Amino acid sequence: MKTKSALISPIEPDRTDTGNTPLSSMEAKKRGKISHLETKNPGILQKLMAMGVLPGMPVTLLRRKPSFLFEVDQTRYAVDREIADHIFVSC
Amino acid sequence: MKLPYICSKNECCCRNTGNCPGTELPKIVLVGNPNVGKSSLFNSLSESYAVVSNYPATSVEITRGKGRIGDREYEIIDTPGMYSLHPISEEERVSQRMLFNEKPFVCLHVVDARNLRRMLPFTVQLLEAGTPLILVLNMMDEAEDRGLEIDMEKLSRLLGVPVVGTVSSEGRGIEELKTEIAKFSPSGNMPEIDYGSNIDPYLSEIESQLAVAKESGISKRAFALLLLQEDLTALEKVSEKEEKGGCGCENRRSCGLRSIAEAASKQADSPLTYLITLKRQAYVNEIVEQVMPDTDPGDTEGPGRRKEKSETAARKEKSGVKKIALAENIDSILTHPALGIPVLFLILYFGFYRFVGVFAAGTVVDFLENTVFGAHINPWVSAQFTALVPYPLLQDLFVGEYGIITQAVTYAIALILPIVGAFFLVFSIIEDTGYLPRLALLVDGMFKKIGLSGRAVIPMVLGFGCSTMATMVTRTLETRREKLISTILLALAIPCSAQLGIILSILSGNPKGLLIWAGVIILEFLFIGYLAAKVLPGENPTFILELPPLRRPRLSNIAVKTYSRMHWYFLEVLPLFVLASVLIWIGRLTGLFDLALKAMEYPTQWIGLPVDAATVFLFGFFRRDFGAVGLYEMHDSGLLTGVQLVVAAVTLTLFMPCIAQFMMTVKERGLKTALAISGFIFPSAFLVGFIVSTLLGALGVVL
Ligand SMILES: Nc1nc2c(ncn2[C@@H]2O[C@H](COP(=O)(O)OP(=O)(O)OP(=O)(O)O)[C@@H](O)[C@H]2O)c(=O)[nH]1
Ligand SMILES: [Mg+2]
Repeated sequence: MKTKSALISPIEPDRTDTGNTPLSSMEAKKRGKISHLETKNPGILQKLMAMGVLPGMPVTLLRRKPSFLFEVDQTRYAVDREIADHIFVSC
Repeated sequence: MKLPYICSKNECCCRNTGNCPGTELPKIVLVGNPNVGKSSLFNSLSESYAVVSNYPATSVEITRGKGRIGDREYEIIDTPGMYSLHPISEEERVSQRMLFNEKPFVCLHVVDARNLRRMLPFTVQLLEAGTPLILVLNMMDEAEDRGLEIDMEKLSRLLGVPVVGTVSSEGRGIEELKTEIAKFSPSGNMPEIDYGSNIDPYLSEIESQLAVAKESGISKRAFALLLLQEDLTALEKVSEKEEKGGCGCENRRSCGLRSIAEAASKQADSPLTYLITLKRQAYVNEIVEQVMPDTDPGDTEGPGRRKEKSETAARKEKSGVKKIALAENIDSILTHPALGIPVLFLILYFGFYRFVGVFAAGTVVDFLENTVFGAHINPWVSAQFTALVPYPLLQDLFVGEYGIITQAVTYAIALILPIVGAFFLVFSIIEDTGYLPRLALLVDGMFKKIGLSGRAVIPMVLGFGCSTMATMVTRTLETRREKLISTILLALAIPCSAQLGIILSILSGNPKGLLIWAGVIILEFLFIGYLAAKVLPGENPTFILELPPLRRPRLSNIAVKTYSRMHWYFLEVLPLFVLASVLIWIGRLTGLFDLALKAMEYPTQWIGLPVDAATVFLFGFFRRDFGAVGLYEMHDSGLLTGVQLVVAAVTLTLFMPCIAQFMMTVKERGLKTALAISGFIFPSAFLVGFIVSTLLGALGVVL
């Protein structure tokens, strides 16, 4: 199944991969799938993972303003641009 | 409706102390993510009460209570929510420590049934740690509304632990849960997760070197995993052991558990936490696919995705769809970048100004103070007392101008109680809808300018209820800097409920004055926040917050919450008001009162107020709401002009935090910080009062 394979797939795919954009540059109301997380900042990475924002999960961006609002599975998250920069989505 | 049993702190909550009578009982510990319903479950299992609200991180402290299940008595423990066994914030660490250190009879892992995929990794972690576990799928009603069906039997078989579905806010499933608890015995079943070649070898190496696993309170494997993820608590335990040379290995040189962890993280291409979490999630995904076969997360909306569905489930889903659509529409207005702000003002205007300020602090207080107490109770009590006790000295203490009955009790019951009651009622409703996280999202951008993340709006708003409680809630913020800035702002610019209610009512006849007052306070809030963010070292915080669904507030929850907060506030305020009466009485006997009053007269006159207003600030030193009460009295007797009223209101709002808040600041931030904040506030309040008074005077404003 695609969910599983995405999860076990290489952890740091090629950044130049077409269609891999950070959540912060996605358009509102668009759906996609989280491809990977930026791992440079351990604090943010750990927080995102603990809260269930993980590669392989489908994601819908609901709002860009006043803050980024997105939905993963059945949960909604509000984040600022800095965090949204750490989430990469493939459409 | 069950009314909460409210205990005095040292009686049954015995925080941090291990020697209270309850420790002998078997322990039931509630753990889980924030906002999944742990506290509401706690309330239905125990005799005690924990506050339930619809936003993450409501509970910031461990709450203990007793409860009878079957024919046994248990100690039931509610914990602050945490996202995983590897904690990030301070309040999560509290919960982690408690799992490590206390040996529970059973641990109830409470999860949100809508979100199994996201919640089960924590269950797996708990199982790996060897915790005796029952899995509670709470919020089954919302899962049904969304048409989710979970095969609980299969889930229980796959995980090897009992699984119970509940709706804790309605009490559904509680009996089943109690039955499971009564017949519970630990299974010792442990999930076997393959963490891959980057991790497994190191894992077994650490495990084999951990000779004494017992004292860490969790299994070797879980401890090793935490160590690999550089968990602080695990690291502390290791350092303790290595220092003592008690890690159990022959050769202390080669031991270095820490160095194994370092080697492991060096050879991996990504942080180990990342790798471990992904493997665990893959394991969970397989389980979820077996127990919820009809939902593929990649395609939640396509038609025909559900194969066969029972009739009742389909019916529930249909009514659920409507409910969700309504919540959805309201939500999109609340979080709208342009519409959100007017909605906020509507809530402030109707909820706080109209209801608390005009109705409760105006109409109700007027009736209670002047009619009930002023015209009936007090004259009667005074007459009785004077007839019974012929000593003027004692008469003065009890029924004099500042007497215990005529002042302390009257103020507490006729003024404070209706105002804080109305406030807490509005508050409870707002908390229970889930509006606060939406507000956080709305203000995040602006709050960043004063060094705070949107999350900080929650303690700020709670501060309008009671700044002492709110100061405690600042611990849910992430960085030290953010905690400090919000503590300063709470002490400085956020009036507490009683104070705010009285000020709103005094200024309600004077809309221009009210606007000036609000404008000055908001400016000061922003200005001090901006300065603090500039001056204090450190980076701006990041903002990430889970948005719970909007929920319809439940009447019973609102009633219980309002009642318990009023009860608590009243018990806190009454003795202090009585104490104030006694102190003033002593002060007047010895002449100290007049001396203190004289001293306060200088700054009072300096900001353009009549000499009599000095009492207001003298009272204000004692408690904020006490000062506000003094102001109310002056206003009632028509002693102040409009401008003077605004100046006094501004100065009093910015005035000293009360003693309780000061103590809480000491507890959370340390004595030095608390003293520094207070030392700054006293002169700055009068300075701002002076500026406002001078400006209004120079502009010739008449209010
Ligand atoms: N629909 C529904 N709502 C629930 C249920 N259980 C709890 N709630 C609501 O969920 C919200 C959170 O409940 P709490 O008990 O405060 O959650 P908690 O887990 O203690 O949260 P924290 O203390 O923040 O970790 C409240 O608004 C409850 O009324 C349930 O079974 N169904
Ligand atoms: Mg709670």
